[in-house]
Amino acid sequence: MKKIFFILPIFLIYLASENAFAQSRHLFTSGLFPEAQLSYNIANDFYITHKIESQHGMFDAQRLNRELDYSHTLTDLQSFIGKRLNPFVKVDMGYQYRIENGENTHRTIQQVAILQRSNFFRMGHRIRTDQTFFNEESILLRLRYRYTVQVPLQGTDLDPGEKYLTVSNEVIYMYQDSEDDIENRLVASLGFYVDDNTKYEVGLDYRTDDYLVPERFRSRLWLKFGVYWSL
Amino acid sequence: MIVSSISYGQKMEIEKNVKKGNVPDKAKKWLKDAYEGKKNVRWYFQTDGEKEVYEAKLKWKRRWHSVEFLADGEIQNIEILIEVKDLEKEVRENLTRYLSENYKKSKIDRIQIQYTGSSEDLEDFLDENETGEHLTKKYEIEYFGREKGENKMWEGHFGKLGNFIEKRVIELSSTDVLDF
Repeated sequence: MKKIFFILPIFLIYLASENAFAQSRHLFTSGLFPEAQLSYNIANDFYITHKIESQHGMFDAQRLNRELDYSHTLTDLQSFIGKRLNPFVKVDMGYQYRIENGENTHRTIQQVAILQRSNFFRMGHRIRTDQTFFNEESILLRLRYRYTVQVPLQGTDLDPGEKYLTVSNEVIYMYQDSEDDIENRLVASLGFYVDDNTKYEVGLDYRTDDYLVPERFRSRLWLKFGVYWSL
Repeated sequence: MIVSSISYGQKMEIEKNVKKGNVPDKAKKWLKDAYEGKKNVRWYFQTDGEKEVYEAKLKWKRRWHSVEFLADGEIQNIEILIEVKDLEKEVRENLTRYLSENYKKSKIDRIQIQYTGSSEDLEDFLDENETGEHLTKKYEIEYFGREKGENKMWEGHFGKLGNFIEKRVIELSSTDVLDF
């Protein structure tokens, strides 16, 4: 539990520093990011995954007085069907419905996930493509690569009741209407491995984007917490 | 990693970090003598509910060694992590033949050479890097094999020439937090 009290101050200190430097009107927002995920087998090697994640804005450096103010940013509802090609490689196809102000969107997703094991940690590679459909705008195409390192904190293997650390980084290249951009997502979380069917995580999700758009570099920091069930 | 034994049904192995101070003195002394004062050692305690062992993990001559001790500090074995390319030709051929004859698809994920013997012989082995006649050499191999349309992870034990001895199913922890 002590580690939660370590993550929270980092989050608050970062918020405070962004507040102090916000005079330059740096595009920065922050808030809460809960998520829940359920996976279950449907047939030999085939499985279904449902996920709901939601972003709730609490702070926006663009506000004149930089006060905390709640706003629902978005909620994503996702479902995937996947196949285990072997214990180390999985392929998934999914659909996402996004609820947000302005326009709700549809997204199709394809991914390959690869597991690598080492003496003291596991590493997951994920290559994903997705296509987002809008009413008026052109289709948004994205190509993503994420690696995640999961380190048990109480031994070399994860046993029920133990904690673990996950650190991941994802680079996203996106293309829409002849324009492109890059986004980066860095996440560090503390996990609680209740058993192989239930895990909890709490951590920080730092996203930066608009790298290729002049004078529009943007960053977002989310306090992320989630529960992950697999049946 | 969750381990299930074919012959003994489901059993859970628990493994935890352990402070050096809680490791039997006999085990620490053997390790200090055999590995000539190697200091960067990680200690673990393992139990399957019945047997309790202490395990030291350390890097020695560019390879990871796992040294297992019984609860009284008596050394049980040394396991050395190697790559498939490090296998002797005859061993590799026998392993490959076993896998191709028993599984539609297969892939070796991890190989450890296991040396078992008296504490003196194991210490001599580390000094001289020769197994001699007194040590038992086996291979512990984790591999995936497709059998009857089902992909399974196995932990197999093979003799010094790569001949099959025994195997059991192992279940890898779920990867849902790594995949989504």
